[in-house]
Amino acid sequence: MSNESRHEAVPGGYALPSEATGSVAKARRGSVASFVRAGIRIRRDRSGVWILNLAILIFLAFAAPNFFGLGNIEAVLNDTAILGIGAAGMTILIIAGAFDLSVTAVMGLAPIVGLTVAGNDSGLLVILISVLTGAVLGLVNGLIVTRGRVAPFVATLGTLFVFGSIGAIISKGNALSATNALLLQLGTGAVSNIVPYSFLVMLGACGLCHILLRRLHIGRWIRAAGSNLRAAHVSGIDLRATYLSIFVLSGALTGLAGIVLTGYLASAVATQAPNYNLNTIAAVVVGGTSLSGGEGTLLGTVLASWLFAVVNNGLILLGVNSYWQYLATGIILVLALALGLLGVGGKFWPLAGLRS
Amino acid sequence: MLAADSAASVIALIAVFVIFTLLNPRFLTSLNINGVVVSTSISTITGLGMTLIIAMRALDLSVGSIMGFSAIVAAQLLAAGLPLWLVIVLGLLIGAGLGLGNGLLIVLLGLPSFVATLASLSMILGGELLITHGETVTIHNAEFARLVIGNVLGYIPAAVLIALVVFAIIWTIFYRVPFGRHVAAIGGDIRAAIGAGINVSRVTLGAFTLIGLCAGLSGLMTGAELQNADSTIGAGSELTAIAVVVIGGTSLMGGRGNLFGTVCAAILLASIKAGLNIANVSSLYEDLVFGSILIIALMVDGLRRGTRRKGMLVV
Repeated sequence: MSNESRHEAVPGGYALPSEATGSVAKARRGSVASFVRAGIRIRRDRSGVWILNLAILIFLAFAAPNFFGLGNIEAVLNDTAILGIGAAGMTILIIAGAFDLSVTAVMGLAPIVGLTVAGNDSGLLVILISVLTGAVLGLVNGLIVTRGRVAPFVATLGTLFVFGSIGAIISKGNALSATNALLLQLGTGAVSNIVPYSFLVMLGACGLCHILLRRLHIGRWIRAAGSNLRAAHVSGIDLRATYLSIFVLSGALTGLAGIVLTGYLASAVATQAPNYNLNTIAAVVVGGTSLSGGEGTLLGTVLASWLFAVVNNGLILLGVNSYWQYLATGIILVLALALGLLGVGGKFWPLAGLRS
Repeated sequence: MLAADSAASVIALIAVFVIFTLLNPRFLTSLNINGVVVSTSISTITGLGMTLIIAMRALDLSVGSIMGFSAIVAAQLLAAGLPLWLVIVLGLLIGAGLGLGNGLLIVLLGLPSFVATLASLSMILGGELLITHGETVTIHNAEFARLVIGNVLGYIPAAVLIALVVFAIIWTIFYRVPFGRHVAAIGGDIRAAIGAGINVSRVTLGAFTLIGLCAGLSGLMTGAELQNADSTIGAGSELTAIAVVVIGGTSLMGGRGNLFGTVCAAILLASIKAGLNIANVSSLYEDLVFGSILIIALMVDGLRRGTRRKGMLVV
């Protein structure tokens, strides 16, 4: 893309996404009150996750009152965090109309590299290297997508196999044990035994992504690229830089999620997070982010991660066979989307069904 | 049939054969080992079904779960003493039924195929675990195994024959029956397809039933080969199937399918595994090679197309 085309004026009549053009007015009324109102307003495409969250919490209040014990809340928040940190990066990617299937492999490879390079002496160094490894792997994904012109879905499908294999080769297929106190604290520790550190990390990650998406220029570029790639290109957005940076961001967050999981499990295995790619995509979708790109929120993703954690925890508390949680995940996915779709009128339904 | 799109996979296939044969003359005979032949046939069959779905610009992530489910049900029915032919018919019907369920989720609820099949992946896996309680169901049926690992007329592996029959059927459906053209039309431009009077929901249901049937067959073949069935059968094979289809030259953008390319890609994949195996390379490297091939094939393809579409990203 040449420099001239980047500064070209938008040709008349070319429909830009309304948010991209309307964001100047939006940014001006940036008071805290309006920020909160705008964030908490329940949107139709997110209604499913609110209704299900509420219904399940009410149900658990009667069926399993010990759900609300402090120790249990801590466990649920911990589960929420491990899913939510990776899902935050995936939300940004899906809003931009991209995908990352390689997160499963990055979750294993990043902590393996961290532990192999830094050992168990310095926890901070392990965390840093793990995040950095994630960022580099994200960069590889981004370069394949932007320079190699491969669609993100298949590019990251390829790197899923490659990264997974590298992780297994480095660790020789074994588990590396993590004994550093800081790592273990990150995975299992909590502020006054209620709010886990990992949950705070997740809030930080989601806050960062939210600001990126709603308060910075790149956020507009991301949403514009996701809703209409050609229009975004014509309006002079540097798509390559945009996609490259969000792949790096998502990779770094996945590396972070990987090291948190390693702290939780006290070990690092190449296959430590099976199906993490599909689970994070499920969380993003249940949170009301459209798979066709352009629109979505971090709040929805956090709520959906919490919902999945609550359901899995609730099933355990109710003494139900743990195999039911697979069934529950699928049912939540369908229910949340069906509830979100309710009230959509006048739309020809098979159209919605086939645009994956 | 031999479109330009499949040229890449054919060339890669020939290159791999030549390189591995030069490295080790035993390579060609090692391909004839039953395990290689059966696994190639199985990934060909799921790949052929997936080609149809991707040509419709949809995806099916539940293929692996359906494979496991039909294998487990077949194993339990055999253990219950049902005759073999009935078990095979029921196993195929279960695959087709689960595929139809996917189609109904998509058509009735208006969910994107990616999400609908992601949900059913999870639900079917849950069903498998609830049936088996996470344990392995053994199959003691030599006749069932012979149907897959045996030879027909002395030297043609039965699995290859099954794959050929499936290829012939799907080839006919895709290129010689209106249904196939409708699938491609929906993938190419759904609005135009509706405008042309194509019943989108019926074609969607048909295509997903068909891939369910393919997955059910693959599951039965896996169960017959291993002589046992558990929930790990087919795990991850949906992504492998998508990779095989894409290496075979079918675009995820839909509108076209390349069945011949899919078959070549499945054979390519199996021969690389066999080649690495006799070259004494650790199996940990298999995925590394496989993923690299996927990325390089697509990058070459993307750069070739890039000369025509300057400046645009393919997202």
